[in-house]
Amino acid sequence: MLQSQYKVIIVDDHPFTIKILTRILEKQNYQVTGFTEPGKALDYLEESGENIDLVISDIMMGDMSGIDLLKNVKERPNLARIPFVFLSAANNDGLRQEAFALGAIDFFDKPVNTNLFVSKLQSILKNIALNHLSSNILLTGTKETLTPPDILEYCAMEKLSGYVYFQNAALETTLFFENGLLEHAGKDRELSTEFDMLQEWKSYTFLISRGKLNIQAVRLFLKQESIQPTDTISIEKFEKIFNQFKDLREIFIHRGSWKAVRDHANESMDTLLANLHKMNHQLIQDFGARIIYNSLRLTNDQVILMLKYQDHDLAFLFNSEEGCQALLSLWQGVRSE
Amino acid sequence: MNNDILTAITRIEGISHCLILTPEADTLFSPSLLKEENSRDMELFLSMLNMINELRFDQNHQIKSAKWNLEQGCFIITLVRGHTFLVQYQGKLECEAFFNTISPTLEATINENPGGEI
Repeated sequence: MLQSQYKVIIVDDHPFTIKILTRILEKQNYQVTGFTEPGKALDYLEESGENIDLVISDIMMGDMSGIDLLKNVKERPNLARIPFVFLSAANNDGLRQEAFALGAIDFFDKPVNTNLFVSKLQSILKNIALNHLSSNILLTGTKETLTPPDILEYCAMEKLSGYVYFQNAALETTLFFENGLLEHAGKDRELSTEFDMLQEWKSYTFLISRGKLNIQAVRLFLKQESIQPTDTISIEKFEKIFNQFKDLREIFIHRGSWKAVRDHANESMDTLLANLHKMNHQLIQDFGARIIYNSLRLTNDQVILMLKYQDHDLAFLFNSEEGCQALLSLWQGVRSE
Repeated sequence: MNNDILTAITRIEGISHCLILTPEADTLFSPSLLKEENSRDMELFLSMLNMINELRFDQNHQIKSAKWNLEQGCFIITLVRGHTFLVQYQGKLECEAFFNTISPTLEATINENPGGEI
C-alpha cells in the first residue's frame, strides 16, 4: 500500500474536541477518525490497527480511561507498536509518569496551543514514519549501483512484496512488487512506460522497501542520506581531545543516530541524546532559536555538552563540570576566530 | 510565598522571565511572561516545559539541570526537590555563575518551608 497520508485516531469524550482537532489535522492532510468511546476506538484498532500511525487520546473518559485504552493496546501484540500521545486537562505528574511508563510518547496539556501541537505532531509522525521505514528498507543506491534490470533481478531473488522508489533531480516513480514479481507502477500508470522511462534516466537514487511505503518518509530519508556528511573527523583527532580533557568519558557524533566514538556498543545514552537533539531541532524549527550550545547535568554529576562543530552534531560526556567548562572555553575561542 | 520567589528571581539582573512547575503540577509564571507583548516568550516557555518532560522521564538517567545557550539569551532549567524552575537570562557565559548561586538558595528556601510549599 502506497501511503501519502498519516492516519490518526482521536479518542475524546467531548465531541467538540474531536471536531476541532479533526479540522486542524485535516488541514495538515492527515486522515482522522474520531471516537467518543474508548471501547469503540479499541474495536476499530483491532480491525485496522496495523494501518494506524498515531492515537491521540484524552485521559479522563467515561467507561474506560485513556490509560486503560493504552494498556489494552499494548497487551495486543499486533497493536503494541501504535504510538500514543495524550491530550488532557488532568494536570497531574503521576498520570504523566504512568502514561510515559506505559509507552506514551508525549503528553499535551489542555488547553493546547494548536500551532505547537501541530508542529509537535508533525515531528512525532515524521520520526515514527522514518523509524518504520528504516526497519523495512532492504537496499538503497543509485543507477551506478543497480540498473533497472538489476533491480528486477534483486526483487525476484528476495521475493519482494513491497515497493521500489526511484527519484532523480526532477521526477519520482514507484514500482510495486508481489512475491518478487513486478505488479504495477501506481494508479493510471503503464508499467512498461515507467520501466522504459527508468532505463532512459541518466541517473537516479532508489530505495527498496518491504510492506507499505510512506512517500513523505521516503523523500525525507533519501534527503537525509544525500546530506549525510562524510566522516572527516578522524579518530586520531578524537584521541587528542580525550587526552586533553582527562574527565572526558565519551564523545558521540550524530550520523542519523548517535554513535559513540570510543565504546561503539555504548547505547545507554541513545534515548537521552535523541530526545535532547529532537528538542533542539524543535526549538530551531518552531521558534527560530539559534543554539550556540546546550548542556545537561545529571544527578550523578556527569555533564553532557551538545554543540555543532563544522556542521557535525557532537555530544561530550564528562565526569564533572570542570572538564566541560574547559572544553567550552576552548571551543568558544575557536568559534570566535 | 510562590510570588515572593518569582519576584526575587526576576529581580536578579539579567533575568527576563521565570516559570515554576510545582510537584502538584501548578505552573507559576513571572509577571513579565503574562504580558501580552511577551506571548511568544510564553509559548516558548510552555514548549520547553513540555519538551523537558521527555528528558525527565528517561529511564536510565536523572537530570539535575539543563542549559540552552542561544544567541537571543540563555535558558536554564533546574530541578530542585520536585520543583522545576525555568529561567531566561540575558547574556551567554554568565549562566553557570547564576546556576551555582541560585540552586542552593532555592533549595534552602524549600528546606525552610517544609510540606512542599515554597
